[in-house]
Amino acid sequence: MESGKTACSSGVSASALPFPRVLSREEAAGPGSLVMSSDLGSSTGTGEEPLAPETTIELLELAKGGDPEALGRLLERCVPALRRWAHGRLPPTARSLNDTADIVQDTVISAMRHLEAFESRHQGALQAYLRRAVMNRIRDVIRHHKRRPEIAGLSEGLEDEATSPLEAAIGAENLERYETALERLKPPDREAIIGRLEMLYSYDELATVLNRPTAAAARMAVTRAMKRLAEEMQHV
Amino acid sequence: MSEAVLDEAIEQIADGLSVDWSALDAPAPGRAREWAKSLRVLSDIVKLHRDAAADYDQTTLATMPATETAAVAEPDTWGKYRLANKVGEGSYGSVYRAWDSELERDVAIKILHRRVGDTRLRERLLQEGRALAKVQHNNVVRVLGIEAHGDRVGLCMEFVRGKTLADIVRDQGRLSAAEAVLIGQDLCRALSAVHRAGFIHRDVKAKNVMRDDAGRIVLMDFGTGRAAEAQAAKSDRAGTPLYMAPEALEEGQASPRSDVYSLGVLLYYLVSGDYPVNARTIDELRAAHANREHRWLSELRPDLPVAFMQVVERAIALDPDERYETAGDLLAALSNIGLGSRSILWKFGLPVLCVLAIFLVIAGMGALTSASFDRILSRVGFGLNQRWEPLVWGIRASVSPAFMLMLMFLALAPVVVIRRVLIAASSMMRSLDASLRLRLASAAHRARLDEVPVLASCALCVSSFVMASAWWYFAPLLSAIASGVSTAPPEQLALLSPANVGLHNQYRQVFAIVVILSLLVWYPVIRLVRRGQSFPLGFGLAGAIVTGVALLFLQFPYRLLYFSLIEPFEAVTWRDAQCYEIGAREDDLLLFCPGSQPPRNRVVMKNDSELKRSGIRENIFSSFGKRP
Repeated sequence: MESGKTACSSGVSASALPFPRVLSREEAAGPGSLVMSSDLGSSTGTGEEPLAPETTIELLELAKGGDPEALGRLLERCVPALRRWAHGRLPPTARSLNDTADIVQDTVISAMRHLEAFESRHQGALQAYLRRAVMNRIRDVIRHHKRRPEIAGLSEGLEDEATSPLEAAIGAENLERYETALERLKPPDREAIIGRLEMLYSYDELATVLNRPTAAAARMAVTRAMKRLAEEMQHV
Repeated sequence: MSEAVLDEAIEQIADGLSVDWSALDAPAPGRAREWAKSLRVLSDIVKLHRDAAADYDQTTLATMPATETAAVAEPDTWGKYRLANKVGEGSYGSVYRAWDSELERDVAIKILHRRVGDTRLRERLLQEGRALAKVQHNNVVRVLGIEAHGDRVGLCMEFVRGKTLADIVRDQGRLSAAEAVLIGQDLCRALSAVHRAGFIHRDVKAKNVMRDDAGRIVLMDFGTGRAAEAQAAKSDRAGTPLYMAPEALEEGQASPRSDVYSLGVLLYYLVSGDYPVNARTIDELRAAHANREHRWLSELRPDLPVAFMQVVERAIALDPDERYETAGDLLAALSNIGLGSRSILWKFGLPVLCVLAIFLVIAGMGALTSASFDRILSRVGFGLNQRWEPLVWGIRASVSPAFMLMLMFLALAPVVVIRRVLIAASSMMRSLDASLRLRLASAAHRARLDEVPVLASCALCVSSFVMASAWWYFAPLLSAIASGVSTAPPEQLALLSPANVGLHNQYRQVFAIVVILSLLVWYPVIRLVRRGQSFPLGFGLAGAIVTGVALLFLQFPYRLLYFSLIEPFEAVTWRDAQCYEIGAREDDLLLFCPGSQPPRNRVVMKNDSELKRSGIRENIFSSFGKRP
């Protein structure tokens, strides 16, 4: 199940691709950014090493420069994971595939408009930024559904339908505990937990997002963060 | 509940596996119960997200149009080319290995994506093609042409069969210094050609250099290259951060020196498999540069020859001014490493030889000025010279030019320091400086002053002209010095009078400058030679002659002009005439009587009754007074 998705970051682990290529705005307009692979002309052909794709930071630079191509690629890269994630967060009424897709797409695109102000510090920063934007949107959707029962018609199941599946599954109290404890954690711990438990990143992808050298290091970061979270939850 | 059980449960939750809650719940008094409660919540959260994702994936796969899920079909022909396989990919296009069915050969084609309809992109690809076409060099990938088929534009290049340096280091491990030097030399030549064509590569790295099956080193990927002139005006960044010079990373100031930096990093990587700065993100890299953090090559490979490490470290100096100025300079340095071929004899012999040469030159100058002194005074055979005297005069004659040379350097030093401070302090000055140098270089190129024969001829003309001018200006003094004082007309001798000491000093200063200048004019020539151009010996000989003649003019009259400061001659009266005792030989004395009719020299017996000594010592030309 994990194999089909792409982290909103470089698909290559941090160790395999230690660096994004920095590109200028001028470059954004040219094939200059075309990464000629190590395999160019190699008789061994392709397949030994994943072709280094542009990293998120690199695409971000291009997108900021107004390059529609880069923006498109960035969306391609970030949106699927966010959609899968949002699917579990949206209330059933807004959970049809198209709704999920639209809500995520709209949110991401509008968030991208403010990219100028967004200063990317690491690979995971954009992912967190977009997820937050989608989360806010989801909260709006839930509020919207809760506020207009009379328009939507008095349905018995309305209250339930306007509740996020997460709340329904673990209860409002537990969700509150979880989210409050999460907020109290340090950002890297929070990223580790959301990345693994919610976004379902593989440890390889997580290593890139969390700026860890190896998948094993990412796994350790997740375990430690979960311990802290569980501890924190007991004090909420 | 033990720590191990807790850890295991946490890992199971994180991986979405089912947890053995009984192990957690069973002995769960007090706080342990709280732990279990929290973990259950986390487990539910994971389960929910996993279920939702699975649900989403399923519906997506079921509802997505088939065309979107199927792999995008790749074209298999492009014009006359049959595309074999994709060997590289980027945001704007792909690189294919292709078969040219007409010429029956493999080619590499960089084709822009169909989606990319922007004319600027085409323009950029054209620019890369033009850059490559201008650089005709065995170590630079050859461009075959640019073609458009359908709505796609592609750049055709020779297909290089081999491995990239990155592959080689990965497969074979670190290279030896000797191998790295050979590769480095080829890349220096390649970069020299690139720079000479007016381009800056800007992305020299192990992945962009290939060694083909025959061992030829090929520099490729000019996608980020930019015309140097355009670069001077623009500030932007391109390239791979770890290979990027700090100034290119910070201000986008790419220059031949930033390419030299990248090449230095590449050499570092080839022998160490690592990079001089250890950073995972650009911010970390910036911080490392700011803190001047740097891993010396000697830490990673202490076994390498020191000379090699010095060259690499200088190539990757953070301050561009400390780096080799051009790829040619780096090539010269790499060629001079010699990797252990120099003997200890050479190491210690060279300084000894230098000291000996300086000693000989000084002694020679002393002998020259003493001999010409004796000849001009017509006292050959009457000389009072001790054996060490020429050396003493040589040293005296050399002190003031050496002092002058030092003063000139001291005067130049503040200029250099001020320039560096200004460049370090303001980016405006830096770009001004860079553009000025670029303009100078291109002006020199237009005047063909970057070719040794042209530049050497100019150097020769300048030094000859300056020396001829000095000679012409001091012609009266020189003719006074050259004619023997015994027979010269009095007005010429007046020029030698101590009253004209100002003129004498001026003569020395001017000729000292002429000598220094005749050496300095060869500096640019030597720089060109160090970048790999050959140096015709004839020019060297001519230059040495001009400098030698200037040195002769500077030194030969020294003793005549300044002898009275050290050893003035004793005034005597002989037959009522005012004379000076200027030499002695067995029983004879040589007298110089300035007031007499020429010839003014007289040989008298030491015990001549008409000879009266005064005991006064003074300059023999005192009586001639100020120059007319």
